Amino acid sequence: MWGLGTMSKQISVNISNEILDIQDAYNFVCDPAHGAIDLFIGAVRNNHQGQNVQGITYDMHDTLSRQSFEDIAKEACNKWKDIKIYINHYKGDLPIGGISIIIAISSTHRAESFDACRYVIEEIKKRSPIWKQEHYKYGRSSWLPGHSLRQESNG
Amino acid sequence: MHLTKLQNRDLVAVDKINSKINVKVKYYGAFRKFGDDIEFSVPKESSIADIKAVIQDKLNAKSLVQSSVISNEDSILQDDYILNDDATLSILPPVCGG
Repeated sequence: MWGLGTMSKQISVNISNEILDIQDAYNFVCDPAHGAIDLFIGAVRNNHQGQNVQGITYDMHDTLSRQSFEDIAKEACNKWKDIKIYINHYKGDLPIGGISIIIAISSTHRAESFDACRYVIEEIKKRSPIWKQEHYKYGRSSWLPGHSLRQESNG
Repeated sequence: MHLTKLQNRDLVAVDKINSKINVKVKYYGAFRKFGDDIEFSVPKESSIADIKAVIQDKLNAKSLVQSSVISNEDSILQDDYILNDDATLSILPPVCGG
């Protein structure tokens, strides 16, 4: 078991091959001055484009993924003031219902935490070097298409 | 004297052509079907575009390589980035995390 992450008072980002812990996310962002916590949980579903999915393998470039999480979290902190952000992404094999990502964001009022949480998950999907391999019946599997980083790196 | 200068310059040019660097490129996502990584030699001062061309030729995966980027451990490298020394790189296909 391993974890790869960084933490400040305001931002915690991590990559883990242990089951992701919702309580850990809550504990980090919980703040007596914050009245709102928005929690996003990504979970493995049993179907995709008509295929019966049995599970997903998550592959990641560890250092660049962690760097992208930090960059995105810092951008969110600049856009929405006085928020706390927790990001943890799973790496490895997950069954149906397994949690692939937890994003928790707290803020004084709910609008900031909702908006920042949406921003963080959408940016991760576009920019973080993470890949999904879906597994189907009879041992078949497929790496899912995604967003090319060429556009991101070229600005 | 003039001849000597020419010879020296030519020798430097020949040295440059003959000078090779070793490159290791780690695979991720859809590239995993080809193994964990690929290693090859290229002339010194090859660009990232040159590296992608080598991988494209070796794997016969034009579309996948062209939609991918090359990185080192710190950042994504642009196509015109020049390699002067041995390098360990990664090839990153289109992403779909979350």
